[in-house]
Amino acid sequence: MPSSDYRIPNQMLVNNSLTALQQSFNTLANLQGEASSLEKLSKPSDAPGDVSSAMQLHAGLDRNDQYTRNLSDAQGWLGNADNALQSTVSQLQQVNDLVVQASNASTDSNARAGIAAQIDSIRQSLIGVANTQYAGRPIFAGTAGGDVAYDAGGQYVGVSSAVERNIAPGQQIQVNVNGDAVFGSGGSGLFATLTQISQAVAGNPSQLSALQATLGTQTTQVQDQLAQVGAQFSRVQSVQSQNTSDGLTMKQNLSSIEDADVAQVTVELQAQQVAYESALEATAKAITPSLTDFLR
Amino acid sequence: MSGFSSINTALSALEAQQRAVDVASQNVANANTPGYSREAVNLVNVGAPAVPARYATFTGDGQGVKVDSVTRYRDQFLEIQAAVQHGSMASLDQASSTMNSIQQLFNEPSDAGIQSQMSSFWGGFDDVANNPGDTASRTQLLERADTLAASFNSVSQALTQQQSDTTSQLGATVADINSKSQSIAQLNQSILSNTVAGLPVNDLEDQRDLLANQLAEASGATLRTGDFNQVNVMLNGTALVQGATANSLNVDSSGATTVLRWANDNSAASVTSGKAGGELDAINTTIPGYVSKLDNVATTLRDEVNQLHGTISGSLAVGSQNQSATGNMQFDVALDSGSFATVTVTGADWSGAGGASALQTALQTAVDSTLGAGNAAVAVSGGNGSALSVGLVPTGAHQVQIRATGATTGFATLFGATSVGSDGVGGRNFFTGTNAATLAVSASVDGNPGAVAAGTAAGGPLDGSNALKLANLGTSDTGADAVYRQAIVQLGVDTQTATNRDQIQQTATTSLDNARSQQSGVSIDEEMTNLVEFQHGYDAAARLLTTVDSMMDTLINYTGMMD
Repeated sequence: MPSSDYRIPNQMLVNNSLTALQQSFNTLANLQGEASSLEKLSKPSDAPGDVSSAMQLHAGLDRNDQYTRNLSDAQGWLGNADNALQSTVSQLQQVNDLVVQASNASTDSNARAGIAAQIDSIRQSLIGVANTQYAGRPIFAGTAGGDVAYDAGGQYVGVSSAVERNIAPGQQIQVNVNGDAVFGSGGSGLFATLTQISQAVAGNPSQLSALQATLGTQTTQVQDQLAQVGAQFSRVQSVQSQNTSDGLTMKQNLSSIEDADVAQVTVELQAQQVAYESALEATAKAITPSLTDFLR
Repeated sequence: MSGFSSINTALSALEAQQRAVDVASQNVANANTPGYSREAVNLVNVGAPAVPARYATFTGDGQGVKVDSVTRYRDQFLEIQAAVQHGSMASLDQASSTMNSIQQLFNEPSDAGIQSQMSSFWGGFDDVANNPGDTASRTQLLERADTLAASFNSVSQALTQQQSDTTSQLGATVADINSKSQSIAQLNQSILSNTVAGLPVNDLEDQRDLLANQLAEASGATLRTGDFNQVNVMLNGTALVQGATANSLNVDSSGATTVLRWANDNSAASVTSGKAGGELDAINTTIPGYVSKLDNVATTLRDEVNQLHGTISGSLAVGSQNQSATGNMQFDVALDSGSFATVTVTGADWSGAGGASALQTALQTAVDSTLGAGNAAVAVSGGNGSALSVGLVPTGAHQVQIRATGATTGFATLFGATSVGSDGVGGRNFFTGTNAATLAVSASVDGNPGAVAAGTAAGGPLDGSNALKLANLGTSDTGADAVYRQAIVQLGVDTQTATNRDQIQQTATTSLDNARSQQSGVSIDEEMTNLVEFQHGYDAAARLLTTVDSMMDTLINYTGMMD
């Protein structure tokens, strides 16, 4: 009787072959799954260390998309404010020119009445500018609910409050300019000044130099706001390009964590296929023959 | 002794070889029978009688061969070890399959899991902040919130379902344990009587040992061998099978944890290994662990959103710390789903040193007279030259809704920081529910886009400042997203560990099974060799008989005949 160490019973041979084949096939199936989905991280246990980064990157990319939308909205607000303020400044300069013209002693009262009418119309146009809307909202009205920031009489009806957008992790930017900071409100506001100027041009040119100074101060105020809006606008633009590159970086990182390396998977798959086929062949050879085949 | 004793010798040889062929054919027939142990005949030569009889002469050549016994090849020590290993493997198999199904339930990382739904929920707040006046973005946010809450509910329910499925599975396992214990006890009984009577027990032992191994796999029990070929099955020191007596187990799911109890005295049975042990662990520890992790995420989400969405608070700047300076202070409140009633605050100047407590008393009295005592608590701090902080906290599970009354400024003045919906009402919780299974968008917000508190009482109608804060919760390091990610990482680690342990145990069990198989398994080649060997023996014995026959023929028929 041979020592039991050397006995290889049939069931053991079959079981061992089966286990080896199953392991080999399992590896093959995993690689095939990886090759067809091209994902190497499809469930947390694939790489628990990476799954947190992957989820963070997924969330980060969603957030990044949202920031992209917020940024284009911010750009819309600030771009409109920029246009409106530039047009305001140029119209105010026009008023200033008209005031200089009206102050000239050679300008007669008929001409001054014409100038006054012109200034009135500029005032109306500026009220229109002050009510500029973006996406259905008056951009100078703060957080007020109405359709306008200034009523027809030039009275401020907005609620001065910051309208902000999330533009990057931890970064918010104010995208509005409150109307009262640009055009003032009530009796000391720009529209009141323009009314006074128009009245002075028509009837009392002696007041014009004082009013011209007030207008100058108010124009400077508009220019200050314009400069601020410009600065905000360029900040939005730089954050926008940062946002795009952040998105790309995150996509790359996510891809390196989640996506299978095609070349590597293909080679491994090929190798595993060969291994599996050899295992099948070896099993077929080992299991088939027994002594019965050779006994007569 | 006759000179022709070799005729008996030849007969004994024929019988012995035949028996050996019988045993070999039994082995070949059972080459693939689970639990079968190969057998072999033990042949012994029959020698001369120890005490020569009178009138008998003995040549000293022996009297042939006989089958002494049929040995069953089985190492009881390996069997006992195998039972333990199979028990651990069944338990680890269960643990690994539990973890894998939990992992599938969570479905992370993917674009459909809770993580991605939370991201789009937070993004929804940004859209509301961008367009506070737009009902569409608010409706979209509420839809996303509903989807998110439903995902929490369904994952939690699926976990609970898995727990109850495992409990029914445990019932089946225990029924299996009980029936196998009975069978083993019966087999022990038969083996005992056969052994005592000197009858063969090999086949009974094979059946019994196979069952004992399966029982160990199901229950994690250990085997002990007793006298008269008995096997006793012990469950952490208590006998499941003792000789011919079997105890049985019951599943008790009435308490907080599911336990197995002995049928005879209803005491708790300690089952820590085997399929039953693995199932108990899944029911009592693993699945509830993940339910509570998910609950933790859900309550974190609920609390952080409600904190920003439903808190009633404000501060009085130094200049307005006097009722005469702020005018008539009135606001509307409603308790739970009740209708609004006006609170009128009257009181003295609260600008001085005792200002905070004066305001607190005045407000509390006013609130109590409208809402009834004990439903909401007013908290006031600071004052006396610095800003006064004011808060209104509903007690218990109550919710207090608050809004401005007509043109009076009480609400915005006292509780300016309160977030309000586009309808101007504040104090509404966004989420309700106590755990992941019950998380829901609260009734006062669900289906009511205007109730999404995008702004504050102090801001204008299109104020989106609160929605901005809510949108940023998603990137918080202590928020629901971070808590959820930790849970998923833990899930990955646990699953990987369970799978690895299962694989390692698989290897250990396989090598032990191989050792058992080497001992007990049938090798066809070996049996064929034996067959040939015994066939030759039989041929030779037959030949021997012919020779003796021919010798006797010579003696009887030809002796004395002369040509």
